[in-house]
Amino acid sequence: MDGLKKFIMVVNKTNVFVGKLMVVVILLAVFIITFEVVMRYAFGAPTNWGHESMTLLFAIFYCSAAGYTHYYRAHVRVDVIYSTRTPRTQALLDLITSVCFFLFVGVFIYTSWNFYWSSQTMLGGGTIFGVRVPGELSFTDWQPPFYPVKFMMPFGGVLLLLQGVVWLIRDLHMVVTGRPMT
Amino acid sequence: MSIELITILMFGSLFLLLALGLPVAFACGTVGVVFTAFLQGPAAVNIVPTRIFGLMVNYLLAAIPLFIFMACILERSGLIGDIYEMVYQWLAWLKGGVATATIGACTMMAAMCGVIGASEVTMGVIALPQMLKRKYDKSIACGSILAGGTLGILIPPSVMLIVYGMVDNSSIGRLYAGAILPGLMLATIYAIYITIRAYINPVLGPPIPKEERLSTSRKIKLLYPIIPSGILIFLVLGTIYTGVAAPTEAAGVGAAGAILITFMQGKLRWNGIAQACESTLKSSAMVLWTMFGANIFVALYVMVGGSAFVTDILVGSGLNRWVILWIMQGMLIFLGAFIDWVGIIMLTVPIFGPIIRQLGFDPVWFGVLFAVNLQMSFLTPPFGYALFYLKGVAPPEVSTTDIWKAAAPFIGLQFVGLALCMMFPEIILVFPRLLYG
Repeated sequence: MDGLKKFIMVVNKTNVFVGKLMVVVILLAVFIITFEVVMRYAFGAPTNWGHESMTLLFAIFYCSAAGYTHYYRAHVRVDVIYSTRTPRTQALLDLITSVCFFLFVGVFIYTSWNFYWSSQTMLGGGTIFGVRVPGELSFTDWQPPFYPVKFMMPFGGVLLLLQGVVWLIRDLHMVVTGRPMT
Repeated sequence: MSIELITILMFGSLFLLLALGLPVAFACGTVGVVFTAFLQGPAAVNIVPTRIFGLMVNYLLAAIPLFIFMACILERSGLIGDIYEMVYQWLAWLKGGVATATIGACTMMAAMCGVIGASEVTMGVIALPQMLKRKYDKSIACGSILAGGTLGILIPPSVMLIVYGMVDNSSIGRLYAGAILPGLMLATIYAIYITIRAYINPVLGPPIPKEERLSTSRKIKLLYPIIPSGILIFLVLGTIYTGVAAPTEAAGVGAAGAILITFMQGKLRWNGIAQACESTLKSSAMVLWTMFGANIFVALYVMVGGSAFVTDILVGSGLNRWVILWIMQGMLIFLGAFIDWVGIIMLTVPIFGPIIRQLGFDPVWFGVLFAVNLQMSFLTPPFGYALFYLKGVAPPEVSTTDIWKAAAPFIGLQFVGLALCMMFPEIILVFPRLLYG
């Protein structure tokens, strides 16, 4: 039991921490797009990396924030039967549907890992900021490598999966004992 | 397997999972993945990350977190409170004026926010206690906030129209231009309704007592928030309409502008920014993951011939095209009561879009109609965002039933608005024509 509680705490803390990191990512993205717009329209000197780096930052954030969002159970549901049930029945329904949740997240992690790996090991590569990078590059003028962003997909998937396991344990506790886990 | 059977199985299992309470993103994703493996072989599942990645790095979709962030910052800027104070004093003489002021303030906010959360929550905190204190009828008080706040996602900048334009491949600028007049029309309809009810029965919404009204010079001082709001609206919408900036750039500048306004109001705190970022995180991740899941589902359904099947049924039925349009609107109203707007757009637009073009309707017109229709989805129980938001901040004496009852007449008004937009397409089409020729 103590081991389980520890696991829950670690996963929760990890996801909250990742969420806090993403705060920085959002602010950075806002800063970059503002900088880009000012450079383009006020100084007539657009960058070749502004738009794309902002988009990639957001891509990182969508993936990483999946677990954080699931920590708050903020992924939107349909409230026809679910919302009017008792907490215990809700936990039972969640247990039943968690089979589908794990199936989807499992497939997502497995396929996106392959997706990422083939991107990193693809023939190609180039230099960015003077650093030599391997793998698939974006087809833009700036040519950033895609693999760090693609890596965030299985990474975010694992965070989501772990948070799903936490909810599974808590739901199981609720169904068996009828009390929320403390 | 025949397409009829596939349709029944796919939508049947989707609705079953949704009813059991699995989040929309995962329910759509699971059904999509299972049926992909089943219909096209297990190897076909490898398409999943490719599809998701395509959405992740979509430049246009980056406007979603930016607009949500902008609204979250404005929520903490104090600007909403100032706007409300201004409209409220200027309408002090009017019966039902406090509720009408709520509509007015919400409309101004809607021109700065692309989502409904910010005005729904803030007005629930500021305006609802005001109205209850002044003995306003609960249904008028809650209804004005519910309906007014919902305008946020219709009046540009609107996150909903960005998602719609992305899925349907139509111009965001034109959609934005088309949504201006319907948005203002709905606001006017709400205000007229409140005023009529308050004049018939003044107990529902008494005007503010004379001694609480400000002098004209004080009232003019209150006009100050028009300046920063006006600049912000120009930065965001002006740049989109004049074609200077893409919606994503405009959203980014709007977000920076919102931070600047908060700073000038003396309300900028690191804590507030962090909180705004965190709610941006949750809301955008929720929207995007719903898109990811729904995209897997609908892309498969279209690929196995689902779109052609629905087109055959609707267009092949030989019904008048207006009847078909009304059938679609009915389906959207029905879905709106149960599923959130992102899911509805992702699931229906890839199917409806081609049908609309085949029937010879204007796609931009239909896109705005779609958004007007989905206004109702925020107020129709059991699943209505606006209802949740307001319940979350309302004082305990306002029950969920009160809120549901308050929503009812405004849903009726929204339906009237939808019908007007359908009968007089010019309401939607006049601005896109003026701005884009």
